[in-house]
Amino acid sequence: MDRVIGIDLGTTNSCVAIVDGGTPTVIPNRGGYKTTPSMVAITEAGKRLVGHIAKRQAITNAENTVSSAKRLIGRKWNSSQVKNAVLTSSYRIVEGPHSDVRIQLRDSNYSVSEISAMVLQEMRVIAEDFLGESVSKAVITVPAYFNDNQRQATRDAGQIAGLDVIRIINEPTAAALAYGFGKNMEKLVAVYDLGGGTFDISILEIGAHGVFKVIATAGDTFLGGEDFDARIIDWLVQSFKEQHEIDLRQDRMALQRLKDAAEKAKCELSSVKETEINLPFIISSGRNEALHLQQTISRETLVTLCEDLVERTVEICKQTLLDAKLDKDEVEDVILVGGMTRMPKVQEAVGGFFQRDPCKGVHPDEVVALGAAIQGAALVDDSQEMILLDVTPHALGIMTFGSFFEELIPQNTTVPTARTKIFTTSRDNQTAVKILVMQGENQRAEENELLGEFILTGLRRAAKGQVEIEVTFEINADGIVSVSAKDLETGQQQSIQVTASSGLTKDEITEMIESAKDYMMERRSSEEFEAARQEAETLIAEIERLFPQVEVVVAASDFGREAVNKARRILKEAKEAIDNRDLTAIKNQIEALARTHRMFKGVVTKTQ
Amino acid sequence: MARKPEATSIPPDTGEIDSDWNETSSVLDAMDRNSAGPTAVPPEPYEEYARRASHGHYLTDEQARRALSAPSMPIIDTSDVDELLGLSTRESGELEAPIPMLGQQRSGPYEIPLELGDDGEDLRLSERPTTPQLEPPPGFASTPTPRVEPPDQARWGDEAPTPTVTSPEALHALRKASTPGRSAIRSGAPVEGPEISISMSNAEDLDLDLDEPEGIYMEDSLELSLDNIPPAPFDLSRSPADFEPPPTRKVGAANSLELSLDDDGDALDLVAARATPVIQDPNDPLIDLRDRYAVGDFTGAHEIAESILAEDPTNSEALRFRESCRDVLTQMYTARLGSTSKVPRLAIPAAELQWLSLDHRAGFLLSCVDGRSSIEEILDVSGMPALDALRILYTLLQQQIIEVVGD
Repeated sequence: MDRVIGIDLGTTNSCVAIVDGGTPTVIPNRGGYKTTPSMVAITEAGKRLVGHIAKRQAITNAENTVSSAKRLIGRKWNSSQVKNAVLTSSYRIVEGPHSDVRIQLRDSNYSVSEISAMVLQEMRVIAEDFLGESVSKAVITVPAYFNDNQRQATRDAGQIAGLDVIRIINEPTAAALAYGFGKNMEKLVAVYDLGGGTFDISILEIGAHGVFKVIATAGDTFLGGEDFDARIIDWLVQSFKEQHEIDLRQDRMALQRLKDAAEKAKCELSSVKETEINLPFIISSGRNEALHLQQTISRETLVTLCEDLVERTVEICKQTLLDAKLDKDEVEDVILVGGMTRMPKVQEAVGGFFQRDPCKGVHPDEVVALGAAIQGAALVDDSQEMILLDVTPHALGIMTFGSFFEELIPQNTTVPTARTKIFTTSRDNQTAVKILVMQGENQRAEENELLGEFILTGLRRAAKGQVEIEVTFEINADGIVSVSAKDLETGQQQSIQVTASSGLTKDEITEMIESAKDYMMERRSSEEFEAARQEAETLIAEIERLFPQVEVVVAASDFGREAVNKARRILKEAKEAIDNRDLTAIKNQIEALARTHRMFKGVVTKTQ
Repeated sequence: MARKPEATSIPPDTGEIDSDWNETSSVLDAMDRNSAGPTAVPPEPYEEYARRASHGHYLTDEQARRALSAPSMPIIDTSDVDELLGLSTRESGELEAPIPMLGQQRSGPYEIPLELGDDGEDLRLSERPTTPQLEPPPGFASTPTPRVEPPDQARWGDEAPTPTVTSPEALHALRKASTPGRSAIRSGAPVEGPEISISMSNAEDLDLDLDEPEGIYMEDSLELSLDNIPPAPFDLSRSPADFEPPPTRKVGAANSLELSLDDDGDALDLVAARATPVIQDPNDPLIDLRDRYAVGDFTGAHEIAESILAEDPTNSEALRFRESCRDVLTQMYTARLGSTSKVPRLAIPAAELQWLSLDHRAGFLLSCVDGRSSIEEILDVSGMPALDALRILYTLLQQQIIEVVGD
């Protein structure tokens, strides 16, 4: 049975998990961290950096470091979110060939799916290194509000990363899956997800026999842990300026250190009441004198600085319950997701609003990935009984006269579903009608996402309002949307199957897949070389350490001179192989080096 | 400023190259003598020339090296031509003995003015020691004289005028002179026009690859080139009385001698005067840059290159020196730190850090030293040029603030 990894592809951090022996487990990366920053950078030398290392140079190499690519995935160039990102991002966002979004790093343009694929590839490598085997199947999570294009773009990213994405599931659904795993319960739960860059609130109904149904979902895509960090940075910069009249923001190295220190302090303040920020040699003064930053920050200070941010999340929770026509008393449990929910003030605010202590049984950073892994295991193991009832994250409808949006399938409708509505003509003797299929909640059609269009022709000539057209929307279990229009009098019918598009063509995706494969091969080969080089260098160092002792022994006898000469030759050849970066030669020399090392060790041991 | 021709100006002995010049000039002198032209130096008897020519005269490797390394000395690398001649001689069988160097300086009013180094001493032709070498060193013909490449050949070529060309006519004349029974010169008969006058259209008949001038160049101010063979620069059949005083060629603003055999110039353009040396501005940072690079002061050379580029970012020589220095220094620092896969860690308690005297860049790099990240990773995250980061890390290592442990 193939192993399926669950990947939480987050805006700021990603996490990978697997069900191992029936137990969902999060896989740590090489640094031992269970989450990996969703950041990609290209260095001056053209080297690709992903994860923590990319984050550590995010400010000093800001224009070539991509963060929060998830906010751009699957979006069109002319969307308001992209326009906003163009103004606020440190990296360069450019228009792609299909009105899609591309990101310019150094001299190359990358699609957003490609950038996300780099993160997914890293998660795949983490899993493969941990498991010691190749992994190809994955379940990836996306925010519940993602539209079809965004989901398709995420799927494409997985494909570019060499993964077979067997299912895309909503993040709150995944969190609820992990929360309800192994428990036979029927509950209405709220998933409060405050991550690094985004906030989401979802209300779910967990039914008997593993039925999960999303009732409502909402959020703020520009509210997260980074905003809390920014408040601490502002505070530190201001204090330093008052003290030394120097603006630390002007120096990128100083700002990078401030950001790291602020995040560290924020995390520490979740467990201690006070912490010290100590950054020696933060900047040089005009008199060429290095200055230090030393500041103590308390939990109270942090709360004061960030109170309004916490309040914003509570307001969104309030609105969501109103939309779902639910009372907060009806919510039986609150699941906290995202690193920011460790902050005592956040827990206090959530508990205060829902009037109950949030559930502490799940790990906020890992719960989504665990849920994805659980879903993945259930999909390949028929013995597991689990039904996921997803909902449409956005309303579906068509554009009508006056550029209005006529909704056919409302938001949060459980799929599969089908809805029909009758329309009529708006002009006399109208013989054709154009059906524009749209997704969104805005009454103005142009504010919503266009999914597809088709024309119904052969209508009976009649005065306006005399011809009736029946439009039917259908979403099947796989989430595929079909729309049909029928002239009720003539029976003339046209239909369309809406396929989401990430903005990439098939050829482009194929090319990106090949490019990603090449990168992986190069990376693996480089890793292999490094491992061999390290092994060879360790042996060389050890042999060279023993050489003087062996030479003394050999000098005192008539034997062994040839062996010593041979050892010298082996050392020389091994060093040459390393210098030439010849992996095969190094591997060949390792054996000879190991033999020489054994021999030398034996000689030294015997003569002692 | 143009200098007045000096009839007595004879280049000093700078080694074998000069003697080659004199050997050719002696042939020409012989012709002049026959035409009773004005000469300041007693013309060499033909017998003397023939004796030396038949013995041949080769540069040893050491001599060539010395000649090439002479500072601001007009250097003419003759090895390629010598080799070429040797080959030609052997292949064509026209010549019995190796022919000495071409384009040698004529004495008298037709002297090629050469500016020689400060340490050069004028010698009259007759005073010049000759060391005839009967047999060329083994393998000489197949071993070109090592040529010292300047850092930027193209640029140097641009800067230095291309002043003179050794005429293949002279070669042809010499061949005839040294071939028994062929030359009127040899018999002492008056030189006749058709016999000695050489048309450049025959250049290819000499079986010489004249498009390969490698090894023939003059440092700083004088360069020999066989690339562009001009029309016959002189007619040896003319009587000395026909010779007009050589026109004075204006010396360029850079005080460098410019001898060109382009279409608008010929041998009579030569000025019998010492060339004015190229006086380089002692404050030119490029000189300091080259010197420092040459003596292995790569850090100093890098700093100078940076300062030059700060004022002139397009200075190609400074750019090249900077890149070269960076490569060397990066290798040096990497070697001193060990492998970049090694992990640095703090060697002193963190609390003591603030008592050190460091700048904020060192402070930033120190903040990246966490005991887990390798040098390579620190270089990646630093956002600094790799060389700067390596230099700071090496300084921290030297000051025992950090230590480098295994992979």
